[in-house]
Amino acid sequence: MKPIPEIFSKYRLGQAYDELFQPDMTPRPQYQQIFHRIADMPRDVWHQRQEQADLMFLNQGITFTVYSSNEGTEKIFPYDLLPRIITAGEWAGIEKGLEQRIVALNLFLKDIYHEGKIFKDGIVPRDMVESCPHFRPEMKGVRVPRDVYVSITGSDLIRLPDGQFAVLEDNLRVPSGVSYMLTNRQVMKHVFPVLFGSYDVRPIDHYPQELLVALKSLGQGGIEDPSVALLTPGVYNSAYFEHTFLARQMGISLVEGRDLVVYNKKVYKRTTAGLARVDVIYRRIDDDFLDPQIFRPDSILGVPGIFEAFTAGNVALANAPGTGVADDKAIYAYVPRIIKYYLGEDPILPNVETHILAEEKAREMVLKNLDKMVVKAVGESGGYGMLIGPHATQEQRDAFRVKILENPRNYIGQPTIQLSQAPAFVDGSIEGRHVDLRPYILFGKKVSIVPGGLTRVALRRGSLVVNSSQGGGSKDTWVLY
Amino acid sequence: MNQTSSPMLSRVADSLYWMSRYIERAEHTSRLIDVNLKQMLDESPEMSGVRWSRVLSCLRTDPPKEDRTTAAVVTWMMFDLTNPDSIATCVAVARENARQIREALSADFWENINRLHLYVRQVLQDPAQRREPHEFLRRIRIDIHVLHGIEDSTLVRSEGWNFIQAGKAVERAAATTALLAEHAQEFLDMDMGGDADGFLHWVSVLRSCTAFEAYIKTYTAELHPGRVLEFLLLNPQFPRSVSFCLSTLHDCIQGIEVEHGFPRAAQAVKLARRLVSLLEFWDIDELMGGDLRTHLSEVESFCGRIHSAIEEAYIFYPSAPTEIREGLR
Repeated sequence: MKPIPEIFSKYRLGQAYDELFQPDMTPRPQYQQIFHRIADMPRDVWHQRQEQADLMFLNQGITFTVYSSNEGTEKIFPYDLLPRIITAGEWAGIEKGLEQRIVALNLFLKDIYHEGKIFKDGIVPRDMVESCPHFRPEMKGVRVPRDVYVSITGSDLIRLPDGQFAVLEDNLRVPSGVSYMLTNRQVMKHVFPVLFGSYDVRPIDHYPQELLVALKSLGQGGIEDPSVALLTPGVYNSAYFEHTFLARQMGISLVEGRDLVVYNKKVYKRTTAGLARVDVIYRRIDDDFLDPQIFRPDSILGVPGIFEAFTAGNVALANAPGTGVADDKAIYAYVPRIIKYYLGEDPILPNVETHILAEEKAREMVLKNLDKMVVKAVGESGGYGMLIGPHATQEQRDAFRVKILENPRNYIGQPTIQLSQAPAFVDGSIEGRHVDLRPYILFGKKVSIVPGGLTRVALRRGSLVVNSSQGGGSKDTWVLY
Repeated sequence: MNQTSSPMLSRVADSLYWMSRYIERAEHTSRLIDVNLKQMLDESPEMSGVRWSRVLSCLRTDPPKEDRTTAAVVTWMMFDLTNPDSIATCVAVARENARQIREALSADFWENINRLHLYVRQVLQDPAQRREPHEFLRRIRIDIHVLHGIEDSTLVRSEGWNFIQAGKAVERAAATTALLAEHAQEFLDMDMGGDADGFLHWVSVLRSCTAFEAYIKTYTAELHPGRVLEFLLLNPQFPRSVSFCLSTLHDCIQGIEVEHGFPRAAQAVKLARRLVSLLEFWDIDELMGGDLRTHLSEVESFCGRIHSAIEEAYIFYPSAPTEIREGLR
């Protein structure tokens, strides 16, 4: 066996599945070419390419704003140069599993807001659903276009130590990050054109078109070409870049709440030619802020009357209000049973073992093993409201114990999972860093998933938190033919 | 099929218009400062206070401090972010407007205005670069010319384009008018200006509008105040003459109306047309003999009224059911 190239000298295999190396430190077949390219490349070339990539993000204004002093500085999200590779076989399983999951979750949403058969059959307790912070009683009995509640999903997948992909959470409200999936690819092609060309990578650039088709499929009232708009909270939202990006790529209006008005249960946008009708809204604004008449009355981002226009069938909202109930972390534990119930199939993609802390036995077990467990608040996302037992201090664990006992319904426990690790370029060396994968699932007339997703990487050594708000970066994801 | 895009959001139109005005303002200011810095190389230092006071007046701006030394004025007009008209502020505001309507611009346009913004930020943080105003001013103008080129070669000629051109035209018309008003007295006082000082004076006025070479091609190098005035005010072919800018402005509003297919800004069109015809019938000798300042301030106030009429028609109209256009999507 040839010695490991010097740039990999700090690379360590741990308990986690390694995307690049097999246990004997030889590269997996799909990483062979890239491994040899890396080994040949001088360090300063790496630095140069990294600078080139960072500059591309900066010049394109793909940034978020940090308000440390009185003037905001714009920073880029860290981009890791090395791609994450997924083989055709691995992808086929992911694709089938996600399609199954999203079809079942849609049926679940329709059911809980209508007949509630799943409650009557004792599969999911009604109070577990109705106590979710994202459950919207206003949605009861409301028909949504073509019964599609969730047009856009971004599920977070992880790879378990045995190499199996599993779903860590479903994001059924306003999942973000797809613009990074797309720009990471553009940057990759710019920075490593030859390397990219030497692989048969499936394209992802048609995502905006597929998204537009899915959104248009929600048009009602026999309109041939429905008018679609993307509703953003505005320029101060951290995902604003993504909103402009998608609107531009789809060729649709990017509207803010103040651009829209509702008359006679119909939604109009203020244009230079007067008020023009809007048929479908891809809203990137949370339920809470959507309509001050129905949800939070203090919201100035939303549109008064839009919910009524929605229930009257005069405008479609994607995703529909109230979908967050199905990505509640406690409901997550029931998803395998939900799939079985509606589809009569076993789940293709497994869940991560999850304990519902509202249940006494589970709670006792988790509290006893807090130093080994991950505890998550059910309604939170973005890595907030989370305890990673093995990495926490005794004080932090004690504080969490109190919180759990105060409101057990609000928490779930999971074993600490070693997310798989992939090579990342860090401080002049290549080291293993933990990654997850967020593919984007579109539900229009049918389910479609562009082959790829956002691979997020925890750039701090040993960290298992990939969220951008917690020191995470991202990398391009190659699904091979 | 002859597919045209649906009408533009009022907010987007407003941002395009202002973005364009601020880009133009940054360009004009940088040229004016550059011309005057160069001009000073040929004159005695004690003249500088008067010179900068006049430059500030041409820019319709007034610093809070009394200091009229070159360093103070230049810093205030170039780098001071508390000055709403400084080049740094203009670039930041133009870029912020662009950022809020990125989907309405081409990727190339956005990337270049963003890059210009990053450049200004970098200079603001670097004292060494701030000591080289010429380089900064040159770079600003070149980058803005690049922006105009990208605009021309990548943007669709729909109403968004017209709002951008309208903003540019209004800003240019106002800037040239203000420059002429500041020099109104000299137009009337000085005759031929055959001496070196007079020559340099009119060269700098013309250069402030990049009009020197264009003037020479039209009238040869004989600089005559009346001709300078005529050229900058009434020449129908020079892109920064007041007359030219006003025609452009009129055509832009008209273009938006034609694209919409129905009149919405009848008032703005009418005002623009009136102003264009007014200038058409102006006679330069009459102006030189009469009250030039009053005529120029009439142009300025007309521009203000056109601006308001545009805003009322397209941007700030009331949201009311009467504004619903059935069938419009």
